[in-house]
Amino acid sequence: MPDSLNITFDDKLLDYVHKVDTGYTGFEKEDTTENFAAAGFVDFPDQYWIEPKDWEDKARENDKYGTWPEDYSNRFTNQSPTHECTCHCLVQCCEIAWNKQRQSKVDAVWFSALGGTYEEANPRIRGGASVRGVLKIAMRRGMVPEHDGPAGKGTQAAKFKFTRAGTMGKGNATQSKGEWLAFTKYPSDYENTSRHFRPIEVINIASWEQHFCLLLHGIAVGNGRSGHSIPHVRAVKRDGKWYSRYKDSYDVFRYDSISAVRSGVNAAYGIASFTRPDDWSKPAGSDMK
Amino acid sequence: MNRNHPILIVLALLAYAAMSGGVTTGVDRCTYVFEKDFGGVPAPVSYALRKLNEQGIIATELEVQPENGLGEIPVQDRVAVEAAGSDLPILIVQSGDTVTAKVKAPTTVAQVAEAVGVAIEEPK
Repeated sequence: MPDSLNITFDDKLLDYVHKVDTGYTGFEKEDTTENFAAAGFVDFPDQYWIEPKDWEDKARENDKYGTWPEDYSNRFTNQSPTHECTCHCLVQCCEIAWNKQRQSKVDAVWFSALGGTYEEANPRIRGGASVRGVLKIAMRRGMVPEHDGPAGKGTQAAKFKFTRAGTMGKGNATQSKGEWLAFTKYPSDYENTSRHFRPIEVINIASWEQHFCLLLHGIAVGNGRSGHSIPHVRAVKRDGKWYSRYKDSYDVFRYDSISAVRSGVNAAYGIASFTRPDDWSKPAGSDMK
Repeated sequence: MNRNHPILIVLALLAYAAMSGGVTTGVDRCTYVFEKDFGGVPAPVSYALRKLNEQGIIATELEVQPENGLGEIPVQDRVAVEAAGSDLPILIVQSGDTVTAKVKAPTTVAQVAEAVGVAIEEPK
């Protein structure tokens, strides 16, 4: 997609609202900028602000240098028909943060939506989870890698001491599917693996403009709106209007208007920093097979 | 035996490396150390780091106060973090544990390439 300022997409992909429960219903009271601040998420850095008049120039620069969040994403995930949306969104944001700091996908790690962090966030399986809830878990104990990895089926299970299925949903060629494992049945030392994959600083987004500024800086934005949580990965323009392009966890790119972006601000975040290994070839350090 | 022989061999190796895109500088690590409150990473710098990775140099973006899984400064980042100090943002270039170059607040592909001593083409 070479020209982010002149794209086309079908209106069916715009401001899409799922007809089924994807797992983000009834969490609006918990996911607020005030609650995010209370949870320790940091304010949007002033120096990340880009005047809207300069957005087009920055978008052209990202096109030229391949520095959109989307450029650091390895894959789609597919949650259908589960309620795992906030965790699929979190997986995308974490993987992008990991790859961006590495400035390469050569040492990419794929995280599990179940192990990071749905099985802990909602033991009832159905009903979803809040954005704040899954982020707090991820920051406390980290993400669990999934069985499969960029090198193929089962490749991460072969090298990490603890992995989980990518999803209990449909999955796809780049995401393993599997059965539920109650969090109470996790091995007692599972954190020896997950602790190596923690968001350290999470930015609390307070306006739709800040949402776009983070995308322009190459940082993915996760949010929740209209009953669904989604990872935004690029700012684009169609017919002179700005839209936020996201990787929906149904194997498809979709687009949100500014109005939809604004409606998701209360539950919007960007991962500013992530743990780094002692050695990129051993992402979980000595806690590997 | 021609006493210029060793020099000719070195020149030939350098020419071969240049043609094949290989790295001859001894640089094996390049880190852009920044503090988000002072601004993000310039896109040309991110691009240059990615290109260095393709040449076999470990090139990364590092926000200050990095942590590994144990909450400590990652072993591989200790030299860069110490060399950077508080003079951020800064590009730290290393050969092993030796810092070979520091560039304060680079913003272009050319600045990164020059500091490392390799060629990096601007994207078309």
